[in-house]
Amino acid sequence: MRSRTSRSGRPVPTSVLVLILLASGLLIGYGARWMGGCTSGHGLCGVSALAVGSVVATATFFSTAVATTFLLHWLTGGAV
Amino acid sequence: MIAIGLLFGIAFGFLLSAGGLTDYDTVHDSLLFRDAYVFLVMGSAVLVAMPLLHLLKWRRWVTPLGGPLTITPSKIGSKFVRGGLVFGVGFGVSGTCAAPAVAMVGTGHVAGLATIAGLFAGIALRGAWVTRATASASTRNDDQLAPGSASADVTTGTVIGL
Repeated sequence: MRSRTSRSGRPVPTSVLVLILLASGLLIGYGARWMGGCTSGHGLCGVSALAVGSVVATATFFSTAVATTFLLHWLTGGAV
Repeated sequence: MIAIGLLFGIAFGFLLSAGGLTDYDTVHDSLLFRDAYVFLVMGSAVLVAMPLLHLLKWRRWVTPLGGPLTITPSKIGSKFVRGGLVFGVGFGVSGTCAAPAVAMVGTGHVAGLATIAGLFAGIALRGAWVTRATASASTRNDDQLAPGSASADVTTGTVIGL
C-alpha cells in the first residue's frame, strides 16, 4: 500500500485508498464467483487440468488486468 | 481433514508471500510488462501441476484424502468471459486477487483488510444476484432446471469442478 505513494510522491489519503481497495475487492469477489474460480482455481488448477473454461477465464482476466493497469498508468501520467 | 486443510493453507500462504505475489509492486510491474515475474511464477506452477495432476488421473492413483481424482470440467459458457472481465478490473486496480489479498495481511499490509471486506461483499452480492435471477426464472418456468442447479452424479473421490 505504501507502494502506491512511493512512486507518485504524493501520498494517497488512507480513506481514498480504503475505498479503492474495497471497490476492487468487490469486483474480484463478484467476478470470481461469476466465473467459478480465481487466479488459483482457474489460473493454476484449471489450466493445469486443461479445462477449456479455465483457459478462457484466465486469458480474459489476465488481459483485462493488463489493460486496466495500462489505462491507470496512462490516466495518472505514470504515477501508478 | 481440517488439520490437513490448515497445513496446506499455511503452506500456500507462505509460498505466495515468499514468491512475492503479495507485493503490490511485483504484481503491478508484471501487469505493466516491466518484467515477467508473475507470469513466470504462474507458468512454472502450471508446468509442475499439469503432469502431476494428469498422472493422478490417468494412473487412477488414489489421493490420500479422498480416493481417485475426478476432474469435471464445466461446460464452456459466457460466464468465464463476463466474470473474468469484472475480476480483471479489480485485479488490475488492486494488484492482487483472492488468495494473495488474504496472505498480504499476514505480511503486514493491513490495508489488505479492505480488499478482503470487498471480496466477501462481492461474493455475497453475486450470490444474491444469482438467487434473485433463479427465483424469477423458476416462477416463469417450473419445469426447467435453474442454472447452476443441474444435478451431478458426484461419486466418491476428489472432485475438481472447473
